[in-house]
Amino acid sequence: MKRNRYLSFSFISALLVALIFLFPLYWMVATSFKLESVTTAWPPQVFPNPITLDNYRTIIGNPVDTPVFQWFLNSAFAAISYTLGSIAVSALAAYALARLRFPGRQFYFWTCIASLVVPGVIFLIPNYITIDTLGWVDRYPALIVPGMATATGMFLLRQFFLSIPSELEDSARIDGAGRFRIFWQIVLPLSKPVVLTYGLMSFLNNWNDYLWALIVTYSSSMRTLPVGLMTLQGRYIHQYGTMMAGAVLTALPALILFLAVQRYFVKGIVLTGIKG
Amino acid sequence: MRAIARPRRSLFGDEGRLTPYLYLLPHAILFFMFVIYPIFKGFWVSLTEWNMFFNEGTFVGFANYARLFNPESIQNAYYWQALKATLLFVVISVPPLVLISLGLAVLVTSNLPWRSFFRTIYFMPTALTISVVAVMWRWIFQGDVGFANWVLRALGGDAIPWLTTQPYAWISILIATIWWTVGWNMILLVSGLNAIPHDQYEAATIDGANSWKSFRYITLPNLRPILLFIVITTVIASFNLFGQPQLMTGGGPSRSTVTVMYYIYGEAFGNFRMGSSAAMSYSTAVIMLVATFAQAKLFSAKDQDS
Repeated sequence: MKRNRYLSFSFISALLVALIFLFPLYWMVATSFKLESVTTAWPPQVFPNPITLDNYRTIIGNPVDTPVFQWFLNSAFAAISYTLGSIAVSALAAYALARLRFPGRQFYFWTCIASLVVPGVIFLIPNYITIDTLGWVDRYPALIVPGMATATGMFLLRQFFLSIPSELEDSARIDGAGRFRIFWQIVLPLSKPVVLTYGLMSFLNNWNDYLWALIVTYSSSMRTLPVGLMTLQGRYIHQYGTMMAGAVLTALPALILFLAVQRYFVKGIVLTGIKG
Repeated sequence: MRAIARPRRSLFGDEGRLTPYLYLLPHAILFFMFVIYPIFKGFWVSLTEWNMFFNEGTFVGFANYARLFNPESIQNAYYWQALKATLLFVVISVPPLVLISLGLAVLVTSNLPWRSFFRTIYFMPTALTISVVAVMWRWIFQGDVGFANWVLRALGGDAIPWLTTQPYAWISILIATIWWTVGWNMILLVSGLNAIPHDQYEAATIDGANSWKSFRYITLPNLRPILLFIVITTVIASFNLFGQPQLMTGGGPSRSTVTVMYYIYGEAFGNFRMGSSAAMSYSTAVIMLVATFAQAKLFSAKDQDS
């Protein structure tokens, strides 16, 4: 009896907390479907009535000032390139560090690990200067290349490669397969779970990045969704329906991806615990 | 085998002496350019008067650092004010971010119906970008027609200008931050809780321990390492507070929510004083490193006590 009462108390608290967590999202979506004239109605409309797509039309229909579709493409292109590049660069390095013997191996590994201690704040200015020197300001490489070689990616993949029994590779070598082929056709496919985990973390980190993308882009057509939303805030500050439509469009891809592959995301956090 | 057959290893090819470095090269180049080099470059910039137009600096020694301690300078006033604001946020945000996540983690690892559904809901906001979070909460805390004030008025209270007066501006930022990031800590704690061997609890129940005692003497000690990790990373995350004040309060009212990151950003990309901004970055980095090691020390000292 006592146990049941305890359970129902926990269940009701869990449900209440869940409602509190969902409410801001609901409010954003509901506002985005309200006519601009009723978004500020008092008392507020809990359900949008009538439901309208006007706000979405306003925001999508102004490709000069608010090129939302272009921002979406920029975000997608940057995040996909970043993810693929980061996996490639990290996996190659991790393979060398896990399987090949060479002078400097330990030194390189520990240099990467030690770099994790350095607070992120100091990278902002020197990396901006580097990007500026390379002529990358307001161009795609600025959004893609700088964070590509990470210590975490190298570390995660190296640990996983070490756990793969080397007999598999040995027998492939006896069959005459070269190093790179072994890496590409045996080691990488076997590492699918960790590659997916790291890939998803990288994708969301890049997709959601705000401060760096804010600094290295300035023209409207080069903004990413998170930064573009900020410029919407300047333009539609008192048009809450339009603002919320922009927020929904920015949030939607990340939320869908999150719900689809949550499992890998959880694993990634548990393995690294590091937030972008 | 092959090594015996051939007296000298070749440079390239499968067993070549340089082959491992080819695998390492892409990572090494990028890691050097954007992680190692900037550590030194940033320090150099902090010793200069940096000209953004020509992308070069004039050496000024420690003048940028000295300015932080010169009561006449504007950097002195603003930097320490920003540091105080940041520390205030660390103090008010870390306890709830750790305690609430612990509560939620215990909740979703108990044998609750729908527990994986609840876990997903609590965790979902971490997938959002800061600008969505800020836009959303800014609308809820809006002063005239925001939802928070509607609730207050419906309950018979007065509307509060949430984002433009203190302490409500901090409370708004705090609530948005908890909502956004508490799921992250929760997931780490869930993995910690799942790793605790079940027989420890069974043994305790046989010895007559109630659920509070099990929590206090089994759960907490087992979670200790992961709690240390969470406290340290949460302190760092709160120290880096930037997007919430920039997008929700604009640093106001009267600069009270301008954090160190926000000021460093503004000094570099608003006032174009890279040197001064870099000096603040380095000072802040030192403070953060000291704080991190102090926490680790504190935790391990407590370990030896018990």
